[in-house]
Amino acid sequence: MAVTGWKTPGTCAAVYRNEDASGVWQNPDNAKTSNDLYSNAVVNKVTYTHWLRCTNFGFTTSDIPSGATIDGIEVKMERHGQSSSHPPPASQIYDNWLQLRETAGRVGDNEASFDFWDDADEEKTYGGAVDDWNAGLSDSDIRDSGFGLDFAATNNDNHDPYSAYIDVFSIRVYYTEAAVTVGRLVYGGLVNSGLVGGRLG
Amino acid sequence: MNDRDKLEEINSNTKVSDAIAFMQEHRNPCIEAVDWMKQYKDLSFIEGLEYFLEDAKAHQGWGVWALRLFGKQIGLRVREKLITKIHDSMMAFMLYIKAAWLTDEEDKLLEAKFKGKLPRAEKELAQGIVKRKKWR
Repeated sequence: MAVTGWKTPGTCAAVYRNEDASGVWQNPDNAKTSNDLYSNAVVNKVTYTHWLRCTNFGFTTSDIPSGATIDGIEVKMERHGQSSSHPPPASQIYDNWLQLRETAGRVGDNEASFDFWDDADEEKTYGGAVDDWNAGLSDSDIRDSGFGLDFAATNNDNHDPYSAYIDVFSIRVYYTEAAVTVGRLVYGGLVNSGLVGGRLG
Repeated sequence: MNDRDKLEEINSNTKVSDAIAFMQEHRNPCIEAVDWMKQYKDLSFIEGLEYFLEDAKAHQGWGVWALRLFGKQIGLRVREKLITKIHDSMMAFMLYIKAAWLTDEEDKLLEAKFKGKLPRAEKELAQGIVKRKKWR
């Protein structure tokens, strides 16, 4: 099994979710780079945010060879939560939704965690080497510019709004290269052959 | 009388206008929720909840907020209706974790809203990383 490097999104956007959602993600482009500039949303008490949608992670065939099998997908989020009414470290922000997406929409498991965010930047990872999120994504799906994630945060607090801050999302992919075809039988004859790292005589 | 004692004074028979006044002073309710509640200011709190249950504009989070604030001070029938109104799986999971007063039937109602939909959060609960108040 091989793994790509961490890739960050080329596109991030604030997307309307539904009328129950309360926090719109500001400065969504700030979730493209780890630089302590944040995309943030103010989340009313006992509610959740609209979507922060990040796509266009820029995987190419240099990262994931054509025909590779996707074994696992790992998402990393750099984030923190804060309130103007409560001193740290009492962040009441936690995930509401974290799901992969392709151009057609969200796919696979919602990997949201009930882990309250720290008041200072921390990294949290989701998925892993053998977790494909039940998304059924192919190598070409992941290389597509529509591949990415949708995220929303929740405010657990029953009294005050809290702010969720995202510094960056990153994704890396675990894959197994396709088996090499060394020959093709047509009408019982070997008519074409090729071998990586060797040669058929 | 402390804040907690005052809270105990709010019950199903409290007038909505009195409940609004209390909450504005002590519980920082949503402005939108207060505006909505003012329509029913002359009703009792429990009567107001009935309208909440029937109004599609009433936010599910307001119900979760009321459930967490008043808990078992709200009768079983209304609690069940408030829980039925929750449609977000993580909001249901949050109430399941945080509310110590839930009955077994209410547990089942909430479980039906998140089981199989939050694999990671469910795993955190199963592994004891997240603990229910009801079990403590």
